[in-house]
Amino acid sequence: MDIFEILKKDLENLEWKPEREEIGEVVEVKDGVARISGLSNVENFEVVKFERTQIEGVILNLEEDSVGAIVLGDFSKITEGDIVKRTKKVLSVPIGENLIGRAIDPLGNPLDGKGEIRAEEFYPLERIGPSVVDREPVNFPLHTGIKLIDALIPIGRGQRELFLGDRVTDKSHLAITAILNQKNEPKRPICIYVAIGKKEAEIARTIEILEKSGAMDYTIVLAAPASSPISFWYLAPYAGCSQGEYFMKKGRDALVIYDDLTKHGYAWRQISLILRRPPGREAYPGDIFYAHSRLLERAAKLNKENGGGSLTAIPILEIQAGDITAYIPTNVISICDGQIYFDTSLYLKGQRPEVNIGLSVSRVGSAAQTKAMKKVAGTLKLELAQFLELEHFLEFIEEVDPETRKKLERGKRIKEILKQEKLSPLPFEKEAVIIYAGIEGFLDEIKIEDIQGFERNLSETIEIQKPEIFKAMRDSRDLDLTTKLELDKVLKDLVKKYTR
Amino acid sequence: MNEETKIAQIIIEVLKKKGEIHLLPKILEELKKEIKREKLVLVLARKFDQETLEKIKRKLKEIFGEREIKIEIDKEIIGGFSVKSTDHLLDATVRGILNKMKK
Repeated sequence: MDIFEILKKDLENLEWKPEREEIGEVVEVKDGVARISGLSNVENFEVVKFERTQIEGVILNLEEDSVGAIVLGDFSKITEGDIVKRTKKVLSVPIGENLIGRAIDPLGNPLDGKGEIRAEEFYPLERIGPSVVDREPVNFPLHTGIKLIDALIPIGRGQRELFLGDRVTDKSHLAITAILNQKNEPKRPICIYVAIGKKEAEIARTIEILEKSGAMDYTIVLAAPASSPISFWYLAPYAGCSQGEYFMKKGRDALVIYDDLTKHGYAWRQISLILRRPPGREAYPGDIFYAHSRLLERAAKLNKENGGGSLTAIPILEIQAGDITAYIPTNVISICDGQIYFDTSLYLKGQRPEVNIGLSVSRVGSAAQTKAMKKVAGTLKLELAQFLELEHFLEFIEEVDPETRKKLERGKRIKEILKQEKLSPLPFEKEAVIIYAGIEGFLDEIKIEDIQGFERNLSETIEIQKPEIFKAMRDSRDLDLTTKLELDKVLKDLVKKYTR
Repeated sequence: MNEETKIAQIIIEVLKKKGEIHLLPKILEELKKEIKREKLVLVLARKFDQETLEKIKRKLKEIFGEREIKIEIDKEIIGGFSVKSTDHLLDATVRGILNKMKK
């Protein structure tokens, strides 16, 4: 059939009844926000279409004779007088299994050039979190693979744990380490990394890291890079949360990392100011607390009747000059179930990860810690706090009694074993054995500079000579007496090699 | 004196009596908005003769009620017509059909 005949047939089948459509007209366009007259029946959060350019927008403000909309695209192409049509659809995103391993924008369009994504369902971007009756307390750990966090500030699945720190500190990479560690975890959670206002090069590097270590098999990267429209920055966390909710509702686990919510706050502040909403403290709109709390309330651990799925949220905040008492940090700290504070001075001293243990806390995570970790790390926090106080005190004193000297030496070793390079997560059993060795004093005779080597050696030795130790810990998630005795034996033998 | 000026004078008098003459600019503003909202814009591809035009206007009045109708000529619509108010659009232009086909 030649092309004319095809066209002819198409024309014949074409139904063209003129329909009465609801429209509006653009009155003004400001940075990323358009004011539209008409559209008197439009709903809040409804998608509208700018007719001439086919760009979409989302309604945010309903006023007497006009509405405000954020533009989901290049706002510079929109001019005054453009016709805007209703779509009668609330803003929603494609979700499902097919998105795993992909990089998408907040509207679900692929960014990785791997072709179209076939969505199973569409979820609205904005929705209310699960109610109290559908939830249960967190009871399963989310291992980050970072010794310091898993031992001292444990995170449970369904928890919201804030990462905050200055510009120089490496919050993002620690969060990515946590994604990498999920690879071999039981009931592996689906990870969603939401990049808000980040440099494109940085996002590309993150994807590369995830791909190299095979983490893209269970990760969705949702990116609203620095050059994308401001509306994308604002919508990205909600879109990421919707992706995670799908898996939570299916009874699975999900981990969402919002990197970072400061940028989301900036975006919402800009949009609100242009929409002429009254500014409050630091020019943020009055509902900035609500915007963040509503988002983070969507993280939950569902009870058995609702499938038992979970959504863990790790929001990241960038603070200025270590000031955690600024507006947004205090807000988000009070919303979350704990925070991990990245300290610039520790970073400069070369401690990795640069986490300030005194200012970091996990309010619910210890309920989810494995028995093994609880046993070995039970006295860790106390011992470490005592050591830090002593260390501070002894800066001025030369001579100390042997008892104090012993405490000091052990503290130094514990501090050493908590050091860890970024992007190298450890399975929980390996974390547990080295912390056990430190707490029980096996390392007291070993030189501090040998400790990192000892740690590697210990894991290798157990893997080769006594793999049943690791296996028993993995299976029972506990450190029972027989395993403990065997572990003691291995440790004693290895320590002898180092002290000879 | 025609009817329109009469109405205007009555309004002004009533406002004076009530001591609310300062509200006049605001009333005018609202009135202008109302007029704009009520106005219909009829877009055609070319000029029609008076008779056909009257026919179209009569039909529009049947559908939309008594309203001011403004006629615009726009060659870009190719053929047919469209009627636009602030809230609604009735698109029966050839351009509209072609756009629908494109989708």
